[in-house]
Amino acid sequence: MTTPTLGALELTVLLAVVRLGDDAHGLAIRRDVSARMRHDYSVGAIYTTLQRLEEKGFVSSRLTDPLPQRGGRSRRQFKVSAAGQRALGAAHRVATSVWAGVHTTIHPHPA
Amino acid sequence: MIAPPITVERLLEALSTKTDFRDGILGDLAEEFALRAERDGAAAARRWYYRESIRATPHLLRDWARGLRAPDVRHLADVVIPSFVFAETLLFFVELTVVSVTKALGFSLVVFGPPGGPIVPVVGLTILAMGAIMGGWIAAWFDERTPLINALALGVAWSCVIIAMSAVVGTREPIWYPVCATAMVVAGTTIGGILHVRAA
Repeated sequence: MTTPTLGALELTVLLAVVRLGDDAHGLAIRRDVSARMRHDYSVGAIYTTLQRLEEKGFVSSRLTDPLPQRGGRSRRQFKVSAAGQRALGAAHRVATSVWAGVHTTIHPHPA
Repeated sequence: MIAPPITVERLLEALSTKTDFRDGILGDLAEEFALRAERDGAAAARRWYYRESIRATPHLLRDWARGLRAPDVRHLADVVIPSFVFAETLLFFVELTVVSVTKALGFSLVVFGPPGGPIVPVVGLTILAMGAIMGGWIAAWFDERTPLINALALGVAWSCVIIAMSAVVGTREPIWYPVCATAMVVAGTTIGGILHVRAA
């Protein structure tokens, strides 16, 4: 069986879930990802990605009590699973390997 | 605390069955709407809500389609077929009435014959649009779980019938007529579904 891989947005969302910790819910994740990627992601795009991550077993979620500011709906809190942490580790290793030796020739802020 | 636009929220609810995915999206939209209304004012928050609702629509439809199973398809057919039969029957009697009344008044208005002037196709398409709105309303009324999906499904099925009839049986009208009829049917059934959701 092949190990599920991470797409670019999936990786960004998964990292946001790690970063936010106990505060990792849809709204906070969307804000974090949109700010870091400098792109206004839609609510649907973030939830679709979270759903995909959950299906791959990289995150788990639980529902909070219904909240009045959400029209009586629950919040979904996300948490990275052990498989998710392994996938992040693998993605980091791949990125490090791919970028090896390149940083010396790239000037991120050209004069 | 200001609540998000109720009609738009209902329409979004009508696009998908109740799932954690749908509630997550609608909850986030409501929560951010309240924050934006406080920070930027109600009008700006409403504009943001309308825009985000449009962006959320394909994701809600995708979630609905992913959860679709054989019994759901059968259920959808159970809604679409009677709605279609009802709307077509209604159309038939309306057309018959229009033709009979105009004939009694001393002039011929053959609604679905060869176009004798610009008014004739316009009359035909108008009647079709009215029937589609009624059909969409009925389809939405049949099942309260996914009313807008039912109306959209009726529009798609009806359009397929129009295209198939034009291709197989042939049509006496110019080619733009079935094209316009298809657009009218999809738009009409959607409007009918929206009207039902608003009224519910």
